Amino acid sequence: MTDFDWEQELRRMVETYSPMLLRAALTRVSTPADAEDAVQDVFLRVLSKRPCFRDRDHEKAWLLRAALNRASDIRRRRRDDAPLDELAGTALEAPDYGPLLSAVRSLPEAYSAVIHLYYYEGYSIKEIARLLALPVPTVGTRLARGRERLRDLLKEEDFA
Amino acid sequence: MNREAYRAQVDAVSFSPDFQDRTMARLRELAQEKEKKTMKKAHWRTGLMAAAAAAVLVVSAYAAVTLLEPRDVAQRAGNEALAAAFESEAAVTVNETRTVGDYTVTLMGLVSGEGLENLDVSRDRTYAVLAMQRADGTPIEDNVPDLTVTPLIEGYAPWLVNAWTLNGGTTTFAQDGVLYYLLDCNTIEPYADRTVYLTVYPGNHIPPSAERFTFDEETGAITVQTGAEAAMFVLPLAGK
Repeated sequence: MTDFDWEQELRRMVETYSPMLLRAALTRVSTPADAEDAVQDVFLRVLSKRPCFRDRDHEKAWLLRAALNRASDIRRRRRDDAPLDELAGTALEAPDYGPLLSAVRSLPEAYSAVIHLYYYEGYSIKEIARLLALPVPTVGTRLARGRERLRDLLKEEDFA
Repeated sequence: MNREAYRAQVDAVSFSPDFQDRTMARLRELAQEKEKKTMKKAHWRTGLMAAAAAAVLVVSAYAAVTLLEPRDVAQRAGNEALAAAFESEAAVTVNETRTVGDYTVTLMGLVSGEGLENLDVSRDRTYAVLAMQRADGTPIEDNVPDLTVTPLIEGYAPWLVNAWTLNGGTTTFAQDGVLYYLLDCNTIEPYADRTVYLTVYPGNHIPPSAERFTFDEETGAITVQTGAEAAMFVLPLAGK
């Protein structure tokens, strides 16, 4: 593939996947700016490593996992760098996202990714298993436990 | 959960409208930097070629044995489905050799992840085949290796993510003086965006420690401690 082809490919990936990757990354980092940093890093990594994807499904799964991994790195680093008095509070200067999104973001990462992909992106349990390279029963368990935790967090009557 | 309410709250988050343009600009900058570096490297490649040619002339004792194929190793381990997987398009042939202490270790190949889904092998596992030989040519007859094999993943401390935490299992057997080592562990495809190493070091089933590896928390890089012995193969995962 020539450099020109690569630029075309990258442009297609950036245009196709950025919105989904930014949303997924936001479930792990505090601010939209951090989510943007995570997703930009993923595309830079695609350029530097030039991975060979089997097909578009593989490409999407790779990018999603990379974005989630990178977002976790950034979240961990922010936590490590934060002064202790900031950590005495709960969230690290996260904007007010609304109760549902805030609750999803407060879940352990393993649950929030599954909940987000299921409820926002509309993927089935089987599709999420494929995207995250997890066994189907694991995804089912994480979805159920994530819902339970959300129920506790939100204590909503119409929660199903 | 109320799906529509959740979607509305996610959609209300505003990302920078110029994110895609900024990203493409950054990618172009990086591509130009890479191109400059490639041109610089071309100047000293000729010197390296001469050194490589000299190295080929050194034939060591271990190379005299014809190694089994990964397919044969899986078959010998009693896993016919895995043997078929090593024959499939999902298999990656590596055949790289490193020296660890008194041994030369060859990473022969691996299979992993979604490429296995049409085969009767769990796509939730990664399988790697290695061959271990004594560097002095003395045959290995013992089925128990004096080496530890574990994957390590860039960005994760070696003592936190390794063969133990990835539910690793091993099957070993000696044949014709060579010890064959079949490692299986939870699939490492979720980490395919990172550099995934397969490390080999002296000692039988010894978890990786800070005495053997350094971990840079800032960059996530993993290296072998000065004075410690370990070989690090970079795994060519699908999508790398």
